[in-house]
Amino acid sequence: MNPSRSRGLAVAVLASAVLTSACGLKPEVKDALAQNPGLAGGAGGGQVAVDTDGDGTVDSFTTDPGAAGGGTTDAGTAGGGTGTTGSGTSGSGSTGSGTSGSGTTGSGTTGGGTGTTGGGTASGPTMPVKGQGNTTGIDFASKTITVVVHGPLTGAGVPQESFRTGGPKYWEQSGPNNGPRLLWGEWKVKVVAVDDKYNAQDALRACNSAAKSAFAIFGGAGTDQIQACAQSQVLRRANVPYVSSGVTESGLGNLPNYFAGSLTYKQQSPLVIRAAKEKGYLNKKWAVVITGTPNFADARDSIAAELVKNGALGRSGKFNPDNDIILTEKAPRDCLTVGNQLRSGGYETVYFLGQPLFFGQCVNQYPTATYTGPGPSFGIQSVADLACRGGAGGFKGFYLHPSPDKATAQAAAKGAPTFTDDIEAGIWGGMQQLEQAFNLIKGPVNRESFISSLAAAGTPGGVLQPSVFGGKTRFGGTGAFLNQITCSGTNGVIKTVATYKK
Amino acid sequence: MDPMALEVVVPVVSGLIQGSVYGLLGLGLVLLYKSGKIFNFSQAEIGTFSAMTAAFADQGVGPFPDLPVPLALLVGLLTGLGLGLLIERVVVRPLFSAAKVTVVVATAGVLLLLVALGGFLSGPEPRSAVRILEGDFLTTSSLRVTDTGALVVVVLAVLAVASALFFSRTRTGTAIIAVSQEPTATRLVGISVERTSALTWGIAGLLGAIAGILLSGTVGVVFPGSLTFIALVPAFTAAVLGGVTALPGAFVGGVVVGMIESFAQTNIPKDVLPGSGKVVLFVALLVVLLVRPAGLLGKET
Amino acid sequence: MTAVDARATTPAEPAPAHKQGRDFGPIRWLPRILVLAVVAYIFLWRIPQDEGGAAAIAADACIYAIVGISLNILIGHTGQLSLGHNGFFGIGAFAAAYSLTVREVPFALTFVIAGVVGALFALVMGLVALRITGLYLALITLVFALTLEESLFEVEWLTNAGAGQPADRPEWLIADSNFFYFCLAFLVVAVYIDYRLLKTKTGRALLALKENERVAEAFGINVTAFKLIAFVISGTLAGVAGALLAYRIGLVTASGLGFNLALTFVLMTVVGGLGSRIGVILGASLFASLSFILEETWMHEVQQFLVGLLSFGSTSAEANLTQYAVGFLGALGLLLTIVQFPGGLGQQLRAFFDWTWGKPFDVHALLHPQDDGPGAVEGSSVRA
Repeated sequence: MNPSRSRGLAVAVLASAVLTSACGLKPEVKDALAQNPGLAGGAGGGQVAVDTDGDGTVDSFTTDPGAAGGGTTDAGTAGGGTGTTGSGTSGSGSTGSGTSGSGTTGSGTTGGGTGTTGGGTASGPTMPVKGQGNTTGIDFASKTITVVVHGPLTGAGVPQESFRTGGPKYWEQSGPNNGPRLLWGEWKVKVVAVDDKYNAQDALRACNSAAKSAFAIFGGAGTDQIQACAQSQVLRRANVPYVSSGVTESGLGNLPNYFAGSLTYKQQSPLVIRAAKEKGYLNKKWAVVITGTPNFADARDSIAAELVKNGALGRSGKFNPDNDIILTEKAPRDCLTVGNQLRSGGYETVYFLGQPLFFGQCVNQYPTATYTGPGPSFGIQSVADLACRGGAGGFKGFYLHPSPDKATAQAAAKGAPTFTDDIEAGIWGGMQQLEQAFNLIKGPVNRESFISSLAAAGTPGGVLQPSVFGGKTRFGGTGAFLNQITCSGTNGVIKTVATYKK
Repeated sequence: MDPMALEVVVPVVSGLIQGSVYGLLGLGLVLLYKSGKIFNFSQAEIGTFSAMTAAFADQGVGPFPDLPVPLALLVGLLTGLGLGLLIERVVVRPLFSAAKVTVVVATAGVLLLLVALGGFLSGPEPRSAVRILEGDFLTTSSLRVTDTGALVVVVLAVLAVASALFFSRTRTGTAIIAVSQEPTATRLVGISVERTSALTWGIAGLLGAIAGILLSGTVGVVFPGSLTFIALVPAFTAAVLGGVTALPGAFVGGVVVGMIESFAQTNIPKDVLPGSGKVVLFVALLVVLLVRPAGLLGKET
Repeated sequence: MTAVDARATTPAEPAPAHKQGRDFGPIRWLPRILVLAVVAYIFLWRIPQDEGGAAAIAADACIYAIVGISLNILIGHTGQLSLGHNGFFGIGAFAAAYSLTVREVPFALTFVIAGVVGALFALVMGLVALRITGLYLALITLVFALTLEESLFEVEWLTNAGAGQPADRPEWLIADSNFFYFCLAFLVVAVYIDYRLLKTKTGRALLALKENERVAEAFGINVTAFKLIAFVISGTLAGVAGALLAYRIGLVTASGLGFNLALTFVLMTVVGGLGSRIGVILGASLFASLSFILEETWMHEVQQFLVGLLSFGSTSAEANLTQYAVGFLGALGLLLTIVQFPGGLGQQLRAFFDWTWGKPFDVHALLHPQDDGPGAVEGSSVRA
């Protein structure tokens, strides 16, 4: 972190050093801060707060879902990433009007994780400043930052309304008194959900058009769609921060503006094996049913290698990638053929990675196997419902996933309104990740500072597992949840049975 | 495991069931072609829509009470019948004198309209279809045939024979053929062209509904456009392969199409030739049309 | 837009009424020029300002319009129903993206490649069309496009399968407004080609083919050659339009090129009015921008209200149903056109276009568009 040497930069301590995530912060505390700015802010003198431990890294993981890690203040009494179990997510909250005074704030005494500082890369307080960097998507008049979430609201996947509702549930209803959640004390976030129609072309269209209105974009689901947006020329040129669930690694490793916030399919392969060992289905006949797209090549090769290494069985004898991998079409019409291929091979465990609708059909055709695989991004509940709806009553699956079951997510997301399903919980968690990323920024907030501060650090987790980028990788996931799927009548039942770290 | 099972038996059985579904849709297509020289692009979507209303009635959605399965199926069949009659009255009849291709484009419009209406009513999410039969007809180490799958084959066979008899043995059946060949002369002998046309479309709608309900039963779910997506083009191919002028042709064509697809999918790896089923089908269709345009069972005209 | 309206001066068309309406003084011209100026201002200046929004949609409209003109050559002029235009369009898009991204061919050359590849595939279909006609041809083009979509468009080296083949625009075309003008230039060329085609012997031969192949043959028209010419020109235009789409989006995937697109192409051409150049362009623009209009403008409220009335069985928010509203209006437009107004938009708005071109405003033509006046749009219904 750059100690900022803003010469007498006028940063008035706003009398009410408004705390963004006042979630865990009681009103009295706010008042105390208000009356005693010094408590929170740097002293006058223009020497704006410097990050003491200053690395902005995620050295402060705690169980606090909200702690934003990150720096402390020079003067702030609290800070320091001590997030308690309180739910204050980020507790940053410097403000400052940039006119006269001095100092800054830093806060997060009780609830929120950390103090932030007014220091940072450039000069001035942590907040968007007009004309400093690319501030597209930030409306200075209404102090609103727009972010876009894209997901399959319609289309051949399993369309989900929850991609639309998860975002507002975080930013508009999870703040103090179920009100809005504010960044740096006073900046609102508006989430707009756009439809990628479950195909890459429409996703790219949607993302490119979002680049002019949104500050950052979050990719909810769909490998091809996420890859298309991440590789977008338009997004890259405009420095649009793009955060998504982990999917493929193909072509995404060296993009300046892309971040995978959870484990990629390839990273999950060893965990799939670990789950199989623990749940007792490793030494069985395995089939890998996977869409034949280059985007799944890394998943396919890594799981095949793991299966061979760990001595899994195949149709005849040991698992053999040539015989036991069934490549499928991108949009298969039915699972009669594949279902009967599985049956005639006598497979007991099926690693399945493909279109949700197709998964439901295959499970119906061949319900006797144990299904497993890496987490699709969000949407496991609807996938399970689809499988169970067809009447595959005895079906059982173990899937890795970036977010836990609804109840676990609800417990981790303190103060959140009730989630309707896992997609809402997952998007909520993704938004939490975004807020944590926002709170890593020191100094003027813009696309460039968002990207550089997130790339250097990571996020402490919450509903989702923590992520660590640390300047080295863009696939920052550190863990996943193992969710068990069973059917209760025609409804899928998801239960988180383990939490795995990479 | 016996390699024969994988490479031969599986495609044959999968192909038979899948092909029967194509055949069921193809039957309605052949009926309309035989009577009016029309390719009805909305045939599969009539099926989707009917399966959807049956599911509404089964699950008690919207204005529907929660009905038992047989009544829900009846609702579905009536929907198909009603749609057939409505399409005839509103779209087909005003276009009696128009070029046939115009009517075909109009049925494509009906297809889109039905997808949109289905979307409004049901939403884009897949909806559970009505489950007619629950059990397994046959389960061996390498094959599973569900009761619904077996039912599709039986229903197709019965309907193909019944409709062949209908056209050769009944007055109404022969009237339909007569109208298609000589509308003016038929009118002169006192057969109402309008009534015959309505009757044909009503039957076609009913056939579509049967196909739709059965197919969504084998797939498990129904959503706007689902049958069109799964089966429309294979059904057309089945109809043309079998011969659009011969009703049992749809049966034969459907089964041939189903098996070709299944064989190609099982035996030609995707990384060698993606979409191998479709390629083989296209070639087969092209060859049949070039060499024997009347189809496998059709009569040369 | 002058090139578009050029038909009015086409000597090939019997248009005495136009000539009568020609002798005006400047006062009668003034309102016409004003209207044209306003239209030009909106389309050439106002819309391109909305970078990323309307400008991008306007580029789409141009691309669709080129496809419309291409399809019109087959359906409107020659009477061959193609349900596989998404195939020619798609192969053009992939050819351009592949040659640019993988083979690193210069940008300009990718359009030539796209056009040639589109023409080759269309030639194959044309050869098939020599033997197979009418409804069977419609069916075979449909299956052909579907086979391309599921097979060729999934071949990994060409298309990256589901991942899609990227096609980045060069620097000077990054701005959507620039790209719109770029597409507009292609559209003008396409219109000119179509105009020249109809003016020549080839055009008259094609129209004769459409009326009756056997009669045409009896008059000494080389049916084989002219049919193939029509397919090749149509395929070239569709291929080039595909290349434009590749650059418009920046990525080509098979999933965007399915049966739905084929139907959309036929729909927009028929709704626009077969045989009417300006009608086809209008129809294409309408279909290209329909979802934008229904989602981003005041029409959104209207659409939401109507959808709300219908969506009893859906758990989705009304917003998710917009896609169906687009299909609904498109299908309704198509059925109305076919059943009630076979001339399409081109004929509906004919009175207005004629007025801007100097003819008195013909209220009668506006109210009773089915009464084909002199110079009515030829080929107002599809023939087998």
